[in-house]
Amino acid sequence: MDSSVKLYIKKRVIQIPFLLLGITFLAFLLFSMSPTDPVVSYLGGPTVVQLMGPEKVEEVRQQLGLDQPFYIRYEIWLSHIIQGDFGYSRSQNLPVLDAILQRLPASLILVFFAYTLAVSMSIVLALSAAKREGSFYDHAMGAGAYLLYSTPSFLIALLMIYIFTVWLGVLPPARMISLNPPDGFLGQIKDFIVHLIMPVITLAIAQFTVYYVYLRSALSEAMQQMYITLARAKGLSERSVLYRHALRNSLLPLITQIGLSMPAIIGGGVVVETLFAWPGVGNLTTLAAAGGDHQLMMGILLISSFLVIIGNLGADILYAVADPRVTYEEV
Amino acid sequence: MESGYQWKDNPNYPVFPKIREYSGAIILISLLLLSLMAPILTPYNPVAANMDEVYESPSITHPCGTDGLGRDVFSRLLYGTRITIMVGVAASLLAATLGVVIGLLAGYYRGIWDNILMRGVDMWYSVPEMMAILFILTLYPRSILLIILAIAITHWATPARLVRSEALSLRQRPFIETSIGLGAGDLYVLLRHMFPNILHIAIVSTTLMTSHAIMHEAALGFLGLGVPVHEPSWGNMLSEARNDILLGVWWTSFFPGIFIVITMLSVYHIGTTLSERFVPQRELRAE
Repeated sequence: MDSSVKLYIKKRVIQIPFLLLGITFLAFLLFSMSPTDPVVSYLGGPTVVQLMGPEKVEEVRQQLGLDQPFYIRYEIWLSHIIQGDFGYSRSQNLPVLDAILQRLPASLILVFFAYTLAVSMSIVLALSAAKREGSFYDHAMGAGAYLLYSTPSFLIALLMIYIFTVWLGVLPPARMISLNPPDGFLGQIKDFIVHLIMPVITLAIAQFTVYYVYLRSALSEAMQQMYITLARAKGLSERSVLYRHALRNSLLPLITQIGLSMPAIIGGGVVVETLFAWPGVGNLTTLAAAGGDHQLMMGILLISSFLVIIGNLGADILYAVADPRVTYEEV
Repeated sequence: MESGYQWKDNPNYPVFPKIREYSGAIILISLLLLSLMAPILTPYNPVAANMDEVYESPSITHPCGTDGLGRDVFSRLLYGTRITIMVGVAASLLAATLGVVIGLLAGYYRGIWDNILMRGVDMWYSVPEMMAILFILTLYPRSILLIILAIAITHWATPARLVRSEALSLRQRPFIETSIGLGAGDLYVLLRHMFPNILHIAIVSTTLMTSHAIMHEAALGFLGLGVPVHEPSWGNMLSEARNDILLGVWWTSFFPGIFIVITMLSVYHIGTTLSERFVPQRELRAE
């Protein structure tokens, strides 16, 4: 790795806390401009507030420190965060951090399989199209990707539910494991896989189209390069020209693309997890938004942003490792 | 343009472009016309329930069937087109305006302004869009305006970044330097010289963002967090259709789905056609 890359990574790591500070500060600013009174939602609605009378409500407001200006409240909130206290979620009846950490593994499983599926599918299909460059198959794949890109993923999910649940009755439409899971280790694994299929495909499909289009054009660009001509002139088979020369060079920019799609895949998780009642963070976000649970929302915003930043950094490091030519001159 | 070059001069683009170039716009405009003519085309009220005609499959009286409250899906679709496209267009116009203003100022004044903008863009790219939109939605009572604002606020960063990099290179060009040297004020240079030269970026990114915004409206409605439930938007229709599908009722989700896909395709088509037309101009400039 180039030494400038190491410096660049160091700078990026130092930036992380400042980015998070900026994001939470802005979120807090928006929150403080909101006309909804946090005390009302804390106490559980306007009727409770009316029953308690204005003096009691003011007392609660002072106890919570909500009579303070917003920068002091932000300071207090921040000092709690640093000590690992993300506040208490009313809608989940749990500390915010526990509520998120409980559901994080389920989301990570989903994201991991979706990424794997999207990347492997795009590589296989882009290669198969590149082999038949300019053929009907190639054009049909391109048009298919265009069509798929214009289709919201939840429509594909609805279609799959109609085919596999209503029509064929083979896949369950919701949850991560059955209400009455079968006995035995193998039975439980099978139960889990059956529940995993549709959410993973739904989440993967939106990313797959992006990767496919990207990789397909990178491949056809690579095939025009001099090193491909040289590889052919050496007498290599078309197969090894494509796999060992063109593909390897086209995969590099895909790494950056994978890092860039982090926010989309985490955000897409909100829709997919809610639709399939998957017990992950995305589902929790919908619950928090529907219940007006600000504390939980702040926690989710902070942790999901942190994951995105880490993911992007990881993609940059991976890129520098994979391609030793990379240097970062601007820093 | 300073060279007087126009896309029409490119031999690849005849004066009367192929119908293919217009097909996206034609489809979108006919969709809008259909929705404006909704009162003539369909006798049914899109929001009135009719418990005698629950879940009727598509027929001549109800070309797209009826939903769980006996409402005509076809008339809901036509009225929903207005709301969904309005949300999409308004949100992307707002986001593009925000992005152009911020990007222009950063690219023109450079230095500290530019630094602040780029850090802001970094921040915005670190937050998953959907999380940011949902966060904003929890803060205010739900309305169509709030949805538009939430989508606009989460989409300004991309046009801002594109406009900024173009403005940075424009700022270096002789005609801008000359104008400043001749004593033109900042506002004059920005409006008279900078803005017309970044307009093509603004137009293309507005078009492409419109499809994003339509997708987000549909996704939010689908989650039950979109425009108020009584409004017949496409997202709201799909949200109700989610449970219908388990009953084997396919038409309440199929037709809104087809409408969304057609709209998205035609908007993308307009976007790519526009950006293709702007390309020859850019190539000329690079020479």
